[in-house]
Amino acid sequence: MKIKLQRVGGFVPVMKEAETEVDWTNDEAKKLLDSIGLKEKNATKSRDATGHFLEIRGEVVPVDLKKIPLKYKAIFEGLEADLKFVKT
Amino acid sequence: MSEKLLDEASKTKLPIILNNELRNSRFRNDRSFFGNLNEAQRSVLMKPVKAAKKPAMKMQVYDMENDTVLSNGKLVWDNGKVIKSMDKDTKNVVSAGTATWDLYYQIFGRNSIDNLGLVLKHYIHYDTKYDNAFWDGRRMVYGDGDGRIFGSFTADPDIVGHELTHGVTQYESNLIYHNQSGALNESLSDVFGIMIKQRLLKQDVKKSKWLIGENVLKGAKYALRSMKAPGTAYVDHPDLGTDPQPATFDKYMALADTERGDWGGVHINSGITNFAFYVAAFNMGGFAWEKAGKIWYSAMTDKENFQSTSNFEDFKNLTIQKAELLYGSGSLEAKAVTDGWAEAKV
Repeated sequence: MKIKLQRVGGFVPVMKEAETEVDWTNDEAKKLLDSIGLKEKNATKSRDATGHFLEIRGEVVPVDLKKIPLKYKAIFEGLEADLKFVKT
Repeated sequence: MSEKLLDEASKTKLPIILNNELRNSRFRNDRSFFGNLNEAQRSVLMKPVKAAKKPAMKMQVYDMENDTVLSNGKLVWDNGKVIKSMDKDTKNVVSAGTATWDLYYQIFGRNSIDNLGLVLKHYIHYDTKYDNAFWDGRRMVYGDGDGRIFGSFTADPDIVGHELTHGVTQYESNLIYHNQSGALNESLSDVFGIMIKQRLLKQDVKKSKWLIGENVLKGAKYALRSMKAPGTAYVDHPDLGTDPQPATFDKYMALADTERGDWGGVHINSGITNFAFYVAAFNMGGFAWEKAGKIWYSAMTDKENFQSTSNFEDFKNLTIQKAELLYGSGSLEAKAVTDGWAEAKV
């Protein structure tokens, strides 16, 4: 399946994206999202901060990249390195 | 106290200027005692009131060494004490942080972000090739940029001033970071950020290019935002495209109030109120912080009338009101502010 990592927000709020093909089962993808997915963000005092979203099986979920399990680290590090701006 | 003083007198510790008549008298209370003193006697006994101590800036710089856990930052500069030799980024944030503190104190009488002397904490070299800077509610964080599209986010004093001003807003109106109040929050940071740069570089309203982040975004013809001409900071940039900021309210962009929608376009629609400030300051002439800055500061710190949910119209009315209060109804300054908002079509 195809997954897409997006970075949003920041001082200049231009989205960055990167995608890759993975061979995860649906169950595996669900487990991963359960562990790295963020619930709706409450109001924070952060300003100009950036955040990440993972698009997987048509669903776009806010994620915490600091929680990526070791097994998936290389995939996400590769995606982060490949992030490209989406022109406005 | 008079009893005590007279007791002391018996021990001949009172100044000789207190003559025997006073020494031998008895008074009902301190007031009647002091009331009997002449100026010379009073000046000997009453110490002059000490002038309030001038507040001093407190600032620290932490090196993240590409880490992202802020508690891992290493202190490299502490209130003038160099702990690790100063690299360019340390020098940048020390210079811009000082300029920010100076503007707020010397022009507006404000003692740091919270007006209570809060320590300014800068965290540099955050993450690897991180192309952003942010305020986390307590401190400023700067990335080095990817080196290709973006340089270090410490390279422009207006960005450092921008992030610090988010702190000022947090302690004042605490403008909600959504839609119009969020765009005002962003705009105030740009307004004070540009004045910090202009004052540091001694630029008046004509000399300034009114660009935010002109060094951070690489390429001589690019900047991150233009207050003079929102929407033109970068045009047809090979990676970013074209600056989406509108200059006028009729072009307000109603984006989704989500993180992906920039919370309703807080960094987009701030162009409108940035433009209003630019026109007002330009029409007043001179240095922006002298008049326009004072009007904006007076409005942004009016806790009674400027609240977390205030919108463009509220801020327009408040700045016009402040201009009239500070410079008079019908003054050139009040007209400049009114014209600024009219040009921005608010």
